[in-house]
Amino acid sequence: MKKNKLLLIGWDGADWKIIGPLLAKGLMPSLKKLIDNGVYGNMSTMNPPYSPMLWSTVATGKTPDKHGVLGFVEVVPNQKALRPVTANSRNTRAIWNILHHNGYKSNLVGWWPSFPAEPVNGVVVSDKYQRVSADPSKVTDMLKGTIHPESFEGDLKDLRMFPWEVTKEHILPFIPQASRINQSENNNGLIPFSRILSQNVSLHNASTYLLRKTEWDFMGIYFDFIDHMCHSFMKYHPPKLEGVTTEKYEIYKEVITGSYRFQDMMLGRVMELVDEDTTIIVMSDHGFESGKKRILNMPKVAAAPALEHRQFGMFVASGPNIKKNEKIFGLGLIDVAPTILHHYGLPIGEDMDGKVILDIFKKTEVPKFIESWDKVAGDFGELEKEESDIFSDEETLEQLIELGYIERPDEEIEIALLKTKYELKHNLARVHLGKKDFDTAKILLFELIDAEKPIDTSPYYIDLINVFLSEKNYEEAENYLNKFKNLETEVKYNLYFIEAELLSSKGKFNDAIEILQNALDKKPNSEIWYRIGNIYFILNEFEEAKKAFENAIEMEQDKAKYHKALAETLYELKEYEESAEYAITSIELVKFFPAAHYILGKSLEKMGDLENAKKAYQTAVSLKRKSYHKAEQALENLEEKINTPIEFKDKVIHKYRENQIIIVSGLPRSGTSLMMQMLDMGGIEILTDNKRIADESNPKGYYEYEPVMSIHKDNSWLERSKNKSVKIVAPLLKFLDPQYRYKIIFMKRDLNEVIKSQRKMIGKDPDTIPIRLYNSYIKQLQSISRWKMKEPGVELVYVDYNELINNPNEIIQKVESFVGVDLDKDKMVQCIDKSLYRNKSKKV
Amino acid sequence: MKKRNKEINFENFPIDSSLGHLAYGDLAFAKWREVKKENNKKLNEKK
Repeated sequence: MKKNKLLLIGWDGADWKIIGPLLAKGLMPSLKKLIDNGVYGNMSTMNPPYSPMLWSTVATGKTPDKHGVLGFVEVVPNQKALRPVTANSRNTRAIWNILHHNGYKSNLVGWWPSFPAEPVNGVVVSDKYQRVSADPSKVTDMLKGTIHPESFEGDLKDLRMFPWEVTKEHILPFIPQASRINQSENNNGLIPFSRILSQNVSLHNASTYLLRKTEWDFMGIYFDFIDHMCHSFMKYHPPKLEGVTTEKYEIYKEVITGSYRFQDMMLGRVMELVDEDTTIIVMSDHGFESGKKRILNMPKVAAAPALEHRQFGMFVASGPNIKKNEKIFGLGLIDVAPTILHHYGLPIGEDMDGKVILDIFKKTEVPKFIESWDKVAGDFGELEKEESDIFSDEETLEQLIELGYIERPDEEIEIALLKTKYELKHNLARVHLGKKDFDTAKILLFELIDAEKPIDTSPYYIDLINVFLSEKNYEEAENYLNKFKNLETEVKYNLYFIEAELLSSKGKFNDAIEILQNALDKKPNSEIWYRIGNIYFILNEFEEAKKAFENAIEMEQDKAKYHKALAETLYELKEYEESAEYAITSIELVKFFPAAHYILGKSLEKMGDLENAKKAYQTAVSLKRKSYHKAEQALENLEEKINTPIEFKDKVIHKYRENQIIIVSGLPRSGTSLMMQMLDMGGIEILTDNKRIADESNPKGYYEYEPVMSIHKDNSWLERSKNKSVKIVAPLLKFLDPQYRYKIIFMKRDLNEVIKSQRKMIGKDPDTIPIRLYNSYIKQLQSISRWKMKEPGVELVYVDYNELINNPNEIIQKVESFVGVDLDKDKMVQCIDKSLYRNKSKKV
Repeated sequence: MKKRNKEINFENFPIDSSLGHLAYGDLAFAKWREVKKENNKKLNEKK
């Protein structure tokens, strides 16, 4: 028997928002004891937040596309029936398999999904154990495979509680006014209450039995008590929602707090039964809406109750090597399995998506790695390959239907099978969306939208449109939105976010704000305020953006992205201290939020705290899986600043940068072609296709490169621009890929001259200056000035056209110093043809 | 294994049980079943 025991307790749906006040009132003393002696924090969930997927992720450290559990139901191997999801759907090894292989004993109770029980070293009480018929005349026998080893079946079978055994003594602490309930009503609350309570008491009984009777190294216990009580009764939890009758509110208002308290009572008993040197983890897979966003009328979409789930669940850990009374940040479901393996000194699979949460341990060791536990040969206590017989499990299916997770299967089994297959594929697409693997998600969604009736393809279209929006492919997004509008569907979708984003993409920001404002007037929610704030931010209307983000935060305090957005806005408003504070709040909510660390770094840099700014940038760089170029470049700039105590007045560092791209920019007719020609003569390689030939307006050529025109769609050609010079007009600069370093020579020329020259070129009266165009150019130039400050990879020097003509040597020296490359200055000077310029001036 | 059982009187276990008994787990549950069974037996004998 080894030391180092670990007990993992799953409280599905448990949420700090309910736990916090109960802890404060002393009503969850057992959890309080764990927190006081251990660590606690938010547990970030995954999308879609369906519990069998999530708990399988907890058990494997892998995302659902890898572990294979994709929903509440699955199709049986012979493809002729449906059943609640089983352990057969999981196609990778779980913690208990790995522990089995390494000689550890594991007990497992109620894990979702764990039926049929896997033959691991220890005892597995699968998730079929507690599912019994609500009909007293049917005392359900246990299905073969419910418990491993079979020798435990005898004792455990009698520890199952049946719903009809629930008495008034059990009910009244939750529902003191239970006598007011009309029990002749089919949907009276006592029916789900009794079923949920009895099932979870069964699991608790099996757990206490195993804790008393067996030796183990790892034990996992899963309860759906809180989650299922919340799905049935959260709508009656205080404060009273409009739409809930006073009578029902009064009857059921204490069920939720009662459920948390009872769960804590069970925890207390479990804690009595374990050694003090046992490490205990209590965690949930997601939170549960308990505020204004509670849903009274569930929409008719697949797994609709999951809409009530909140992004953050809870996590508490306590044990000999766990820190004490410390808050931990950045926890995710995928991290649990690697952390547990590390606890046992076992290597982590490199194919696992999670990481070891080293922050929780007092003494840390460097994690060990293995390519993949799935590739290791030997005994892992796994199931034999499934035979094609069908497990019938009406009770479980019935409960999932009653909870609203799955629709009642169509009488025609073929239709039910078809719908399930599409749902599972859709869930897989959503998993890829959650991982931002848009290409794979699109492949799946394109297959899904081809479905024919009776499949409702509308949710697939919505996801597809959102993918295109994420990719900024507005054309396709609009195309599929139009197709979506022609679909027949019973589900009403809110399209205001999609429409607002499409309008914004066309520059119709006011129309976008109007759409969102109308949505806000109908039913305010924080996300609408957030979107409005984003639009104001783009418009550089930072005061308005600030108000919108503040409203979003007021409605929902724990969304990291809202705090980050406000931090960015405050930075623009030069309120750096406040900006840093909001960035820190954002990081407290989601530690692994590179953009929040980045804005924190920027704010700290402005405040003069360069060392901490450096740390923030370093964190931003380290957290982003793909390169975080902005943060990398900001860090490089900052290090230069720290090492070179010189106050740079302009955003220019006079040195060569490896693989730099020299860009000549400016408004059309501001001297960009001239500068290109000079660089060409000076010895810089030019990226041009010479498709636009020289003419009277530019007798020495335009030096243009056609792909520049479509940089907003494809900027991959920038790779070919390294160490070359390319001409890009000012409005297109914002499409530059931040992964490169740019040296921008921005040509400035008197705006009247620019516009006159442009009008002459297109055959219009040069003496008429259109005011709107003039103002628009001023705005563009202002916008470039702001943009250059935001982009750490951009260095920009202004070159005045008139100065270049009149003092070419001085300007050429400036350009040479800026690009950090020796230039042939004599040849460059020869490009200046003063007579040409004077002639032009005279002509215009 | 350390065991600090709460004060549950298994000698005079009530037929009504309670939430506290349910939270205690298998031992209290098994005892409750036993008490119920005996009680039913007595009721049947009375009839």
